[in-house]
Amino acid sequence: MITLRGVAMVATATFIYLLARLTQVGWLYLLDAMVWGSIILSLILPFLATLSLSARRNVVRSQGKPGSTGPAEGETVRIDLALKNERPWPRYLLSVDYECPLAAPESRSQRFFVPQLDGGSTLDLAASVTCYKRGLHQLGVVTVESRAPFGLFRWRTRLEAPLSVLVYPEVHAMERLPLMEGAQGTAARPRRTPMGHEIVSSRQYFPGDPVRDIHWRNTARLGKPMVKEHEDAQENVLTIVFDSSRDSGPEPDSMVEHCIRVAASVAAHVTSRGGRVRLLTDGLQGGETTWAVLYRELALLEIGHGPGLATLVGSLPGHSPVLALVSEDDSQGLEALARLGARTSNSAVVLLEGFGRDTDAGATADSLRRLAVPVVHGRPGHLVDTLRALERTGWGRRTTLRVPAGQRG
Amino acid sequence: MAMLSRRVRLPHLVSVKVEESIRLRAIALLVLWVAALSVAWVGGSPWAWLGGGIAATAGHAFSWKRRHRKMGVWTAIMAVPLVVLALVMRADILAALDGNWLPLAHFLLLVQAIASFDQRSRTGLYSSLSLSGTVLFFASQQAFDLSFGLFLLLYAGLLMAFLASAYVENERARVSAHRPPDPTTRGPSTVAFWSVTAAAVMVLSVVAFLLLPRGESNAVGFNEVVALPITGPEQDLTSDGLTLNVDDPSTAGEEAQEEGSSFGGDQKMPAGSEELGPRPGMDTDGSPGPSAGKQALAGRIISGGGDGVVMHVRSPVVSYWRGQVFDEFDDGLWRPERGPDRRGAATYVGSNPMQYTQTFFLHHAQPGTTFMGYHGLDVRSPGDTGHGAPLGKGYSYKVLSVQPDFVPESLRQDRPRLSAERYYEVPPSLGWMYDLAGEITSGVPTGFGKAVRIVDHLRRNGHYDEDADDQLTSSASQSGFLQDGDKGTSIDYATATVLLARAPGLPARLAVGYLPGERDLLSGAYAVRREDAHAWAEISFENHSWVPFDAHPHPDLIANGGLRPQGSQIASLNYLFETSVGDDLIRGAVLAPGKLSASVKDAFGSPATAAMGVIAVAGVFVSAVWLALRIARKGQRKAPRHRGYTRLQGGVREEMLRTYRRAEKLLGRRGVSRRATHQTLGEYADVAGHHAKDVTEQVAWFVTMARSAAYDPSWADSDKATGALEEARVRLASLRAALG
Repeated sequence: MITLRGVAMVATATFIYLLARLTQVGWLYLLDAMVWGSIILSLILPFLATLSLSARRNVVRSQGKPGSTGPAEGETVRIDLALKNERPWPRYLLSVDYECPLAAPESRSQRFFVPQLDGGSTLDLAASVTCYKRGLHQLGVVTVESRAPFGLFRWRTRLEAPLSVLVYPEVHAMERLPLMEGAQGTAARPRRTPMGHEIVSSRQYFPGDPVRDIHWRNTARLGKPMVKEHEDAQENVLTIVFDSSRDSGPEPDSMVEHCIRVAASVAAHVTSRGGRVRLLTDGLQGGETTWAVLYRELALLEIGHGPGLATLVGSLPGHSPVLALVSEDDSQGLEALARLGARTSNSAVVLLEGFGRDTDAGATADSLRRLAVPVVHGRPGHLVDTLRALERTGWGRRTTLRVPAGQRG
Repeated sequence: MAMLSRRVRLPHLVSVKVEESIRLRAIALLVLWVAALSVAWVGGSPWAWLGGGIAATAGHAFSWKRRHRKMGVWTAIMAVPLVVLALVMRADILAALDGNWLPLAHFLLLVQAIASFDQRSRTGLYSSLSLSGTVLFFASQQAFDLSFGLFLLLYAGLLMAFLASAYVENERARVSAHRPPDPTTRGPSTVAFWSVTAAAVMVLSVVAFLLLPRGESNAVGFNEVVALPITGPEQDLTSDGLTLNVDDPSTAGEEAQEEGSSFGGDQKMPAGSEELGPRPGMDTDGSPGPSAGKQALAGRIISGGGDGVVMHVRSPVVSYWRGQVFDEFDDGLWRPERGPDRRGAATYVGSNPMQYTQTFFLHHAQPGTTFMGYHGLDVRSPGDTGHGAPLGKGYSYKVLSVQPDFVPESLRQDRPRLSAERYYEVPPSLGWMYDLAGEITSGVPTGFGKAVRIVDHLRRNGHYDEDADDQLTSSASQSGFLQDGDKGTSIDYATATVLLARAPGLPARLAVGYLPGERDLLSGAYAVRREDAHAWAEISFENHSWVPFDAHPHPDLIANGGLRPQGSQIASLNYLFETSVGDDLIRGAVLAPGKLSASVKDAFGSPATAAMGVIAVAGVFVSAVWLALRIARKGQRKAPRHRGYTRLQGGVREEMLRTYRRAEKLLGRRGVSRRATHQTLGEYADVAGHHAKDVTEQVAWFVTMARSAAYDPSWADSDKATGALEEARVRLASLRAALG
């Protein structure tokens, strides 16, 4: 493919040739021949330079937390690209380029310039990338391009070097969570649910629930699978519920991402103290599970599916602790939470504000008045403040904690 | 300009971005110096090339220092000297119209020198390269020495170096991540690569040179026209389609009647032996007179002896370059023509009145004469346009001529006629020439036929004095030359031709000048040497003005372009130039369709081959479609998105980066070395944060600021940048305090 500079060069060579024809000045023929010689070389060299190359990529974590399963948001990882010259002749002036979706949008293009690649050798090209957003990211194909030696013609070859990287949500350490302390007694003491305790209610079945806990009678009566809830189980399992069916706010701190980070941080704290967490959101069925599985589910959570928060809250059991994250404009969700608050005493709500949605302030105020649970305000860019507020939020009383203005998350 | 650039979306063509590469600037300046020195090499004025070069160097230094400052007023101020220069040099610029390109080269050099004071962008550097190339082209018009090739080589080499450097620097600027430095990327291997590249360019240049069509098969450019004198019936000027035939006997009778009727008035009537005109000074017995000596030229200006190039002539028409004419011959002495110059073709009415120009570049002074090819109309000389103006060494002038029409068929229809008596006079002492002329032209009815007969007779029977140093110095008397077989020079041949033509009543005179010379294909001009000094005869025809006739057998002159295939350096180069594969290919391509169509016609005679042909054509068509689709699909692929770039200009950006560098320097107190070239800003921040954990946030802020200043396209808002700069100063003070 000819470049713009190549077009200009060919035009120049043609002009010199016509001038030489008109004036019959032999010097011009000589100069023209040199220009054409350069053009011909520029046509050949890029093709030879990009022939028979291969690439391999891998991710190297240098500052990950010990025991963590993969890179998390905000973590800087190194992506090593090994470019191999399969032929014995050396290559010069190569541009290597690939799209790295791990990075922020403005710096996703990873571009290297390789002045020289010896014959049969492998060159490691390392790029430091700060993970921008959770999710499973497929790194784009590696494009090796040469426009040597004068940038007149371009030849590209695309190298398949498949690499998938799962980036986990950002997790912030929490010192305490009064929400669970009431249920757990002491946070440090692990408690397990013994089978055979008194059944206090039933709830909808979620994948992962033991089959032996299926409440057959209620299943038959309601027409959908239900499981028994034991007294201890209710006290020990924190349900985190939020709406992931719609998102708003600027990336990477959009509303759903904010919810996911709060959920991940809270879940990490609870599970590290032996508690159990159930995640209930659109697209996830909310069974009790291990931290690793839950963390992975949060990492892979897709936005844009599901019935909405009101429906999710409606399916919650009446006695288990609940942390709900709700948008200030979600009146139905707020209504559902108000109803839930009437049934349970160990719930908390994170009210999501400032994520770019039109809000009816009066309706929100009414809904908040009817909420009989503590409310924490979450704002974009103030994740840490939200978590700090949750650390101070107790049970059973109506508490509204606002994030101080100007503090950064 | 910036607005226009964005509006028409031609950022690559018209870039107003400040060029930060001092290397590219240095190469552009070197190219300018090469152009300036080439002008000096061909005799340019020192105040132009030396002054221009020095001023351009100063200008580049000045504009480099001020490249980030606003230059609006400065640009306007610099327009003034440009206008003044154009006014002062307007006469020099117009001299280019007269074929003297050197003053225009001076002008362009000085324009570049002035423009270099506002040389800031890559586009400006490209313009400088183009202008330098133009200067080199103008200089090449007057470069008649092979050593000029050195400048050409330097220019081409520097041009390639500029392109390569620009390419590499562009690539480096687009890099978003750096790998650790590899010792193998520098040093001998890189030098080897560029050496091999240069060698490959040279080899491919030779290939390109061989492939470039330069011959007559091109549609572009002119085909050389030959307008040499008529040298006899065997002349075959195929390149011009001029084939001279001796009078056709079958038509001789008719022509004789016409010719007979045409001679009248004060013209002498030739009729057999009686047809010959009076024989002034001739003895009654017809024997030659006692005073028949060697011939000489009175007031001769042109020197014929010795070696060395007298002048170069650039002309699309190959011609003898006439300098002087002589009409009166008395006692062996030719006297220059008096009265108004009749060399001009103002009265010439030919069948092919195409005009052409010749440019003469004088290497030796030629006082009192102006050379011109046939038929000169007008002379334009820088400084003095008058005919006969003293033209010294280094002068050039341009002559406008009418392309001559020396077609025998046309000349045969024309009548030799001129009223002045002196063009018919034969000295009484040479009265025997009437008899000789009568014998030679016996039975030939037309004037042109008689002239051809005389020329042919002299070429067959004359003896050429090859050993004579000067062809304009007579070697023999006319009687000795014509009757005794003595060797003669060109002046002897020309004198004999004129006098033998006058005898049967043809108005004739002697012309002195130079042969076309040797075609130098490098400069595209004819190199005329002293040894090319020559004399020949001219006969006046009613409708063709003066027509040259040359009986002198000059074996080294080839009709087609005056090329001498052997014996000189120029001839060797010419051989190289004539070797063009491209010409052969084009010739083959022109001839091929006819042969191919015949072959195809034969092949399609049988059904089997016809079917195969159809399949082959279909295959080619399908392949072409497939290829086109593939190319189209490739074009649709999304091009990789490239990083943005800051639009911040001027001092704010520079100040921000300077502040960042100060922060880097401060971090040295904690043992953090300055950011290496292979480190990205982020990598440096990681390293610095590791060594100075207490100021990690500050370091991160400075790194973000530097990155934004350098790359962030949204930072076009200067208020935002100024605010950041103020904050940077505060943070720098705080960092200094923190680091002790």
